[in-house]
Amino acid sequence: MRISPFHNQFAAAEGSRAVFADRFGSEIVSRVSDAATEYRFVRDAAGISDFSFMQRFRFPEEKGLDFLDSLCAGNVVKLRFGRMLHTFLSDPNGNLVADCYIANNDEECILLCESIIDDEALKKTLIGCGAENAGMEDLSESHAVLSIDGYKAWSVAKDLFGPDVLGLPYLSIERYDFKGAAVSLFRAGKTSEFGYLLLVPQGNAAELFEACEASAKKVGGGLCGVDIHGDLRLEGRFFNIFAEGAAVLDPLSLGLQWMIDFNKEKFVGREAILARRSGGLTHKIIGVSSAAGDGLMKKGAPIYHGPDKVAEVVASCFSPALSRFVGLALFPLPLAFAGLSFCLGSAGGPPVETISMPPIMPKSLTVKLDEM
Amino acid sequence: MGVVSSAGSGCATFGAAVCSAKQSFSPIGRPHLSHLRATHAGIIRNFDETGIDAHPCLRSLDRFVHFAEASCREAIAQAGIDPATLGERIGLVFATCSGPMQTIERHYARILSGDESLTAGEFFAKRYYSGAKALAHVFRIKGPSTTVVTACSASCAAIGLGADLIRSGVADVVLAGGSDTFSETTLAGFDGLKATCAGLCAPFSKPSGLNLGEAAAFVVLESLESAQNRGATSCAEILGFGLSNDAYHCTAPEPSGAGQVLAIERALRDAAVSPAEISYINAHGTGTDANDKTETRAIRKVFGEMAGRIPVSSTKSMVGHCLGAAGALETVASILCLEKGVYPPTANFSEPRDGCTLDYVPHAGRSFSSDGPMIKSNFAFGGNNASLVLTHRIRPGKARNENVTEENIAITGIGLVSAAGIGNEQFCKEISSGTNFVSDRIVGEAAAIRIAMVPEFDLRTIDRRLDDRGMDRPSKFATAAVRLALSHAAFPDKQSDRRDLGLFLHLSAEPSWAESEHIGSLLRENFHISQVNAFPYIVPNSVAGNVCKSLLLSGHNTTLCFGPGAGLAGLGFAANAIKNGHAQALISLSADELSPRIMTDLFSSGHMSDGCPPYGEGACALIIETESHARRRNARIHGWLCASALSTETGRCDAADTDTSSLENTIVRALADAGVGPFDIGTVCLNSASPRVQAAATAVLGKSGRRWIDCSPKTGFAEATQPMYNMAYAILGSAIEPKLSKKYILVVFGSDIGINCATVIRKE
Amino acid sequence: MAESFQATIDKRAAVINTFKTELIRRLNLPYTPEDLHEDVALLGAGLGLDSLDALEIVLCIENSFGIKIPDQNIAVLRSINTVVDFVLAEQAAQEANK
Repeated sequence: MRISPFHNQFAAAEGSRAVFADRFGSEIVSRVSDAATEYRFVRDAAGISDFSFMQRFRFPEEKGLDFLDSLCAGNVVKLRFGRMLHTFLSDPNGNLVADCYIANNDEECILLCESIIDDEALKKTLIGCGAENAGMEDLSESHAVLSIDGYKAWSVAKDLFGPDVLGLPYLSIERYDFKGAAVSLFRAGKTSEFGYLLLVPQGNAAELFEACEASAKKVGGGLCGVDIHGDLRLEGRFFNIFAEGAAVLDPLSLGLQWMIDFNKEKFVGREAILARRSGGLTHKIIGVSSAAGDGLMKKGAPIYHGPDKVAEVVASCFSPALSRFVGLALFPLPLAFAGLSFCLGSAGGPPVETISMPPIMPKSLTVKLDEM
Repeated sequence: MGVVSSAGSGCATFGAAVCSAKQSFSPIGRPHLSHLRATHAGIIRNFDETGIDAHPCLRSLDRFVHFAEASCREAIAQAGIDPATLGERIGLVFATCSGPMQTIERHYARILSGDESLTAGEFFAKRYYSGAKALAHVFRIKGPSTTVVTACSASCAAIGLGADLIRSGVADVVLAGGSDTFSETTLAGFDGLKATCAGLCAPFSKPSGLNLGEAAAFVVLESLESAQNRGATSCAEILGFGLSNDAYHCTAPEPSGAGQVLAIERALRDAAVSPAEISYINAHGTGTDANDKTETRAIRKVFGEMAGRIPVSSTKSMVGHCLGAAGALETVASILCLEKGVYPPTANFSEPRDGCTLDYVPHAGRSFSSDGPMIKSNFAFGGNNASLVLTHRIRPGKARNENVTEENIAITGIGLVSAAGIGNEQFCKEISSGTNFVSDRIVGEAAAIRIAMVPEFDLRTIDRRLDDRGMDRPSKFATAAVRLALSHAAFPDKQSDRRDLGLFLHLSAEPSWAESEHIGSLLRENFHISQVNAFPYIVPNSVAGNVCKSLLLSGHNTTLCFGPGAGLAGLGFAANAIKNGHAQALISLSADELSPRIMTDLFSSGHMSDGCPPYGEGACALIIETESHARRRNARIHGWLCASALSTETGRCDAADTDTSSLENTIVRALADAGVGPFDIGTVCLNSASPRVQAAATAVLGKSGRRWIDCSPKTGFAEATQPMYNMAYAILGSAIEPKLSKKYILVVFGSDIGINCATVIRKE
Repeated sequence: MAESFQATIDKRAAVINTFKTELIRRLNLPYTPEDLHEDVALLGAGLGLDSLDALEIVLCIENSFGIKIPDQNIAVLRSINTVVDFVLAEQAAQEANK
């Protein structure tokens, strides 16, 4: 298991209640304090999380963009300097392997992956596709990744790097100096609040962590685990490869067509995905919501239409914003519409509705960063 | 200086109005526009038609020409010059955003009611170059003339380009300025973008939104020495200017202000003035949220902590957004106020809007405390940013041509898109083969015309990074030509190399699709707005905007309209930009399209009758660099740009002269500037379908001993690009045709509206 | 009861298809209607459309359904589903007012 570079920091954090786990071979900090606190940190202030479970690689720009374009489903060659692309990597059968951010940082490009296979398997896949010729450099040992997420996340970024960060558009990358080290700041985020990823050299990681934590506390935030991100992503309808991604695996049923350039000549799994597309979708992920408590809404829970089981829940959480359970379920196409009512758990079970997503209005949406 | 505006015509009236912060808007009050958010505009009332009475040929031309004529007349009178005595030493840099839009709208209205007719005169009247040509005729301006068509920044750039002509010795006097009328479709366009104000605008304050205005403003530019020698009074001195392209979005400014910062910093550098010396900034200040916020940010970036202490004001608060005329109008307004010892104010300023944190001179008549130079900036659709540095306190003595370089200019790359082929190899091969690319096409009521169209192609086949989705055809041709030229020149691909790579786009006609779509849909639906994705692409510089965005070009950047022959005429301006030190490397580009609308117009107005050459379309891009820049990167040099001569025939309002003396003089001048004689010319390129041009060239050069090139039978006659096809073939074609190897090439073009250009190139 | 369920689906599907087809046409999107999941973000993330595209979407809704979206109502434009919800709600309100 690849140990978290911030293990000690989180273990020593206030209350020392941090819970660690192994996710696909990387150590993650599942929880720091409790779900309610961590949720509030992100929705109302700023949460600092360890995202070093992300696999990270660097390529020299020219060869790298071409290689990544032949690898991932999205159009990478068009990526403008300073911008990021959100796409995915699939296996040759067209099933998801990793959720990828690709950033064009002038002389270099950076690949950040959330993958549902372990480090070795991912690296082997990349090398098999020609990563070494493209000049791939593995940053897993040399660098750490922190995530700052929240309604006031911009304030932490501003504290660290100055007011210019407020001008960074969504999905862009910028290099900053932090105590003499080069830190890459990615404006990304999957919680629907402001979000930044920081790629920092291992040697400066501890100092950066302290600065982030201090700045987050100033605005009423603090440390978060990784589990809460699952809830936050679901509430904001941001694709989570670790939840619905791992359960369904098919990018088309998951609604990830926007990550794909169907006109590209080459990417891994292209033939399988195109064949599936021309054959027509049979199922689709739809948002569901229920007031039913007692753990009825959970992964694997069946959904009934009359006497028939028609769907299965693939991801769920309790949404404090809605005071209801929300989730995603895989429905057959003829029933895959929001605004319908079904039964949860059994034929006569409590009602569960299909809903439009995202169901919440995050505070960050109302903020104009460039007026801060 | 001369001005016609809603705040008054004539400098005295105008000056008094702007100093007093008086808003000169009136209710638009047209029932069919009452559903729009915009309610007021700066419309010119009681326009004095003296000029039209004196020159009846102007009557059939668009109102934007009338406004321009009136303000030019005042400027010329104030300057005390007689253009007729200056021969080819006086030039004209006209600017406009929408040009003859009222005439264009009337034509579309007629088309919708079933009348497709168009006389030759009407055809001329609805072309963007009609203004410059008419003014050249009325005022006898025989030197280089052009129309800057970079939308809202056009006349700011025009003044700078005019100054360049003087600095490098091309002209002694230049009339520079702009004109735009109030157009209903333009208003509806801005309204659709939610950019207009309901009521009276309040730049940097509340409420947000712009008011449109109409105006014309011109200045007479002259070298200080020349003015002093004849005892003329100078109102102000142009110290420098800078241009850039955002390379970001067709309408929204790049939010960090980086593109605007580039233009301002380049202007300061060109003027050899530091930010600390600037005493006042006349802003673009349209009143929209996007502009006011971004402009404030850009000013802060350039001036840092000093920003808060420099007064910044928006003249648009008083006269509205006069589009192509804005730059010149606001420059004149600034000079008039500073002469009176006060800063131009921002009218209707109550409390600052969020993100607007500078000193916007909210009260009229604030005394001017510093003698330092000022900045005039304008920012336009298509990402064209322009900035001028000027001072109303003339600095004695010091000559301002340190930036002028004597370096040789090399041609290092060529990119071609034509009916005869895409890419240099295919083009040259097809030109020398027997294949004919001209085909028949039915237009109107089953009348057959002969045209040569560029075959359909995907931009991605030229470069996988390019995306032509949503691009109109001229943009697609232009982007392809530039990408091909960059590859041919082996020009480095890094973002840092592209940042300072300039681009000059030269056109004969404005893009067609957006105009038909926008105006057509408004007229059909009673000015109800049903889509907004056409309006941003009506302005001619949107073509350059598409190229810059695709290829990340943010260098010295403008779009010029000359009419037929634009590619060649513009090459001289592009070379002049390098001569004046604005860029070390620059792309000189021209593009043409044959759309159904254009073909019908050409046919109806008699341009396609028997005996006329078949029309064509396409694009050509040339990369030109200083010798040192080319050598530093080991570029392969294909030829040297030795001389460019440009002149305007002034005998008739909408056509060329009947004799060929001007053409001959232009050719003679080009040869003299290049330091060569007729016997040195091995190849002559010209539009052979024009007997005048043939006659003039033969008169100067004699008949024998050289190769004559005209590709138009193969490529069709592409209005702007034709001379460039000929030039490209002369430079590249010798590998296929050995006879082309003699060293000097003369490229000549004489258009049917009397724009003559001659260029001498030495093959490497 | 069964018809009511199916009728709800049909009504929603009709609005979805009209909107998607128009959106693809107006914005030149390189996708088929089936490629566009109804929850995909329109602005910013997902399709990544910009402010000019947002204006076009508003006009698209006006023209296709005769429904005006109030200025500054960013909540409506978050996904195809949120737009469809708004249109259906407005249509229902208009029916009720008759």
